[in-house]
Amino acid sequence: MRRKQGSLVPLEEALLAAAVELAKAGRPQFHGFAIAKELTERAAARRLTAHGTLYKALSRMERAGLLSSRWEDPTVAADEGRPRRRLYQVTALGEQAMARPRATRPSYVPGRPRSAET
Amino acid sequence: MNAPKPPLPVRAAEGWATLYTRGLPSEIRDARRAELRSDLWEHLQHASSTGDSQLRWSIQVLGRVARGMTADLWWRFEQGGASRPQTVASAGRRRLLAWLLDWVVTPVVAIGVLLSTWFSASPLRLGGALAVLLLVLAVLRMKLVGAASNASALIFGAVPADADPGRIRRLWLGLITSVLLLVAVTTYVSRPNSWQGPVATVAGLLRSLLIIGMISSIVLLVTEYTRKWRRGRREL
Repeated sequence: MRRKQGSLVPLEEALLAAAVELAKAGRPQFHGFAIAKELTERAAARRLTAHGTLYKALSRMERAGLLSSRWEDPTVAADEGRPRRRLYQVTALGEQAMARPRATRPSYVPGRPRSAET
Repeated sequence: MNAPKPPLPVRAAEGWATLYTRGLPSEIRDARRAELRSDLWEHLQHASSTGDSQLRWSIQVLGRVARGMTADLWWRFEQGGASRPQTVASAGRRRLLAWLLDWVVTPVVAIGVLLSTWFSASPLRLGGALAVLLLVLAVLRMKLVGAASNASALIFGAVPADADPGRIRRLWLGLITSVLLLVAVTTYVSRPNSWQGPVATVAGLLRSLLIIGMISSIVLLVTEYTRKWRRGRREL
């Protein structure tokens, strides 16, 4: 999908909204599949977001400063017998962006986090 | 005892990830592959907990892979561009690829189309095809190998301005020369009875090449000025 540099596409907005809702529900950290599942349930869709689309969007949002991520402790994953998860979290900038009405949301330049007030 | 083989959709997804992350710096490559592996594992657990059949899960995974391929490739190009200056290990491969594109693929395509044009009843149409092919090759080259060598700068012009400060001046010179020659050739072929015989065919070919040169110069100048403008914004 073509879009203006620095603007959020609908998927990124939906991701951010779902992540904020998860945080409000007491799950501030999420991994890729969890947010894909959340998006599907929220939209009552049948298909999960494609891998490439999902992780490209997450990567771009992290560069824009809307999300932050960290890899979980390998011992936790090993104890549970599963691969390590990359855990994302909405940043203060991401929360501010979602708190605004859609028309007044600022644009973001990947790699250059900037204040939501600018 | 060997570990059991992962299911086919997992192997397909991981194989695709291995392919499109190939050549990236290890931290980016490994992170992407690990994230995908985790996603596939979570997906499988979710399918088991909801009672989805193996077939349904397989279709879902393969569908997610297929639908995301364009985004994967786009992400790959973005990462390739971002990591290009740091990947010393891949510099030799990129140089080889650049050399092959500049001195083997492009000349073969150009000579092939020029020969076809020579024997064609419609040199202008084939000249247009040559222009499109060369532009496609130029874009492909810039995507695959980035900066061009000085030797091929006149054709592709992808040398960063920092490395070659005289480049914009040369591009302007090339554009002005192309325009002047084009005017001269067009004046020649517009004379009565001049659009006949081998000389006219050569003039037609020359005109097509000059148009290609003009278009390329304009595209490259726009690219250079856009690059300068972006760099100026970054430095603000």
